[in-house]
Amino acid sequence: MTSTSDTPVIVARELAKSYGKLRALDGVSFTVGAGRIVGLIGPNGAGKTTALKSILGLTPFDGQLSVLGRDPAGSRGALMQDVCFIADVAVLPKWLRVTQALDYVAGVHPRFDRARAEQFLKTTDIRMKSRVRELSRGMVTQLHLALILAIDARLLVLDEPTLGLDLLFRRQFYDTLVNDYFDKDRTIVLTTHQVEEIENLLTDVIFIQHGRIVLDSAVESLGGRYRQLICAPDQLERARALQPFYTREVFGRTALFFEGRDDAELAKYGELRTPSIADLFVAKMQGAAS
Amino acid sequence: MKAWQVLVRREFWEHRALWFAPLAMSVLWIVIVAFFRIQMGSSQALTVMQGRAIVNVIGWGMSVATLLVVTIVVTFYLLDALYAERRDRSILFWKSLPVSDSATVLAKFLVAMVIVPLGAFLAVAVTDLAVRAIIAARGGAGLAMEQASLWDGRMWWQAQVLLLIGVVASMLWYAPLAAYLLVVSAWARRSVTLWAVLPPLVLVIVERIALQTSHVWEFLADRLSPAVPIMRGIDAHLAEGTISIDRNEIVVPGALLQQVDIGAIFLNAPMLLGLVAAVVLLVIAIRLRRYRDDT
Repeated sequence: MTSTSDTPVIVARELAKSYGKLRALDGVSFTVGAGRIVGLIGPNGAGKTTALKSILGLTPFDGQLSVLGRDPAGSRGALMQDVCFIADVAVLPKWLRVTQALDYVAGVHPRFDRARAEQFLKTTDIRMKSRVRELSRGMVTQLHLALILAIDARLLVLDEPTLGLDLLFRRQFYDTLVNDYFDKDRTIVLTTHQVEEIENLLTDVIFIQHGRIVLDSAVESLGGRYRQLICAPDQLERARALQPFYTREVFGRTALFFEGRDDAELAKYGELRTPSIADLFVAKMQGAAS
Repeated sequence: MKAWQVLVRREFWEHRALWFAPLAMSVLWIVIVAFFRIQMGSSQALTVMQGRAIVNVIGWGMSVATLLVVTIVVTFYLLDALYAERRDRSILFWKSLPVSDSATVLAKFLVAMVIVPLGAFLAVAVTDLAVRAIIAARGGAGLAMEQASLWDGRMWWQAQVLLLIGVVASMLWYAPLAAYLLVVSAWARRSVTLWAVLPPLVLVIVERIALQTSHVWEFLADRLSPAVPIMRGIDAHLAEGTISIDRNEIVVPGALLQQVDIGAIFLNAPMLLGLVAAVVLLVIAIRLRRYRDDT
C-alpha cells in the first residue's frame, strides 16, 4: 500500500446504487486527494449518505470504488484500520459506559491512543462512569469525537455529525477537528446541512443532486469560475442578457450568478463577488430545478 | 486475542443477564440450603449410599434448573444479538471499527454456545461444593445423614464429568438452533421472537392440514430436547443389551458413566448434520450482517 500524498484517497468511477426504482446514485465519479477536506453537499435524498455508505463498505454498489487502494465492498473490517466515521450523534449505544467505550476501542483498534482520548474527555463534563443514556446529545458527540481523535486514521468520514446540536457544540466540534485532528496526511469527507458553518473549513466541494454530481471543485478555484453580481435595477436587463444560471432578489437588489464569464464583462453592471458556498449551493440547486 | 477478549466482554456489558442469571441461581441454592430444612418422607437414618444418592440428586437438580434458566436467557440473547444494534442504529458505531462481520457474529455465537454454558456449569460445580459444605455444617440440614455421605471425591468428579458431557452434548445439539436465532436476529426488521417462532409453526400446521402427518413437529421436538443426544448414548448400550443399572445405583454417577457410550452421543448423523446446518446458518447470519442495510 502506498502512502504518498499524491495517491488519491478515494477514486469513484460510475458509482451507482438503486433502492427499488429509486436511483440513489446514478453514475457518480469523483476523486478525493490526500490532505483535503471535502464537503459532500446536497438536499435530502440526493444520495450523499448512500455515497458515504459505499465508501465505508456498508452497502453493496455498482461501479468502481477504491478507498486507500482497497475495494470497500467486502473488506470493511480491514479498511476500518485506516478509516474512521461518525454516522450521526445517535449511534453510540445507550447502555455503553464511557470506560467501556474506551476499553472496547482500545481492544479492537491497533491505532487507538487511549491516553489521548482520556485527555480530551478531561476537558469536557463527561464522567468516566456515565452511561451514554445519561449524557446529553452534545456530550455523546464529544465522546465519539474523543474516540475518533485518538485514532490515527487516514480518512475520516462524517455524515451529519452535528445534527441536532446547539451552536456552541457545533462550533467546538469543527474547531477541535481542524485544530487537533486535521493535518496534511489526513483526509476528511463530510456531509452537513449547515453549509455556512463549514465553508471556511472545506478545501473541496462536491454538490450532489438526484444521485448525480452537479459541481465538483476545489474551493480556491470556485472564484475563478463562479461569480455573483450584485446588480443595480437599471443595469438588470443588460446583465440578464449575459445568461445568469440563477437570479435572486434580496432587499430590492438583485444577485445574479454566472458561470465561466469574464470578470471585465460582468463588472460593468455592478459589484462582483465570489459567491459563498451556501449561496452557490442554493444557486446550483435552484438553477438546475428551473 | 486481545480483540476477541473485548468482543466477548462487550456482550456481557450489554446483556447483563448472561452472567447475572447463573450467579443469581447459585445464590438462590445456597440461601435455600443454608436456611431451610430438607424434608423427606421419613426421618429414619439414611445409609451412606442413600445419603450420597440424595446429595447427588440435589446437585443434579440445581444443575438442571440453572441450565434451564441459562438456556432461556441465551435464547433471548441470541434473538437480540444482531437485532438491537440495528434497532438503535449503534451498528453504525460497531461497523466503524476494524472488526469484521464474521468476528462479530462468531463472538456472539461463542458467548451463547460456549462461554455462558461452560460458565454456568462451573458456577453449578462450585455451588455444589458450597451446598455440601453447608449441609455438613448444619449437621444434615434436616436429613439424618452420615458425614461420609457428603463427600466422596471420586464420585463428585464422576458426577461433574457426566454433567459436562451433558452440557457439551446439548451445546452441540443446540448449535443449529442458536445459529437459526442469529439469522432471524440479523434479518427481522421487527418482532424477532415472532419471526423465530412463526416459520416452523406454519410448517407444522401446513403439514398437518395438507398431509395429515407431523414429521416437522417430531423433528423439532427431537431437536429441542436436550436429552436426545444423551439418550442416544445410553440407548447404544441398551441395544447391545449390555446396560445394567442397579436400582440403588441409578443416582451414582460412576455407574451411569460406565453405561454411557460417548461416541454414540457425538458421532451420529443427526448430530453431525445439525453441526453442518449450524455452519451454513452462521454463514448466512454473517452475510446478512454485512449486507443488510436498514439504518
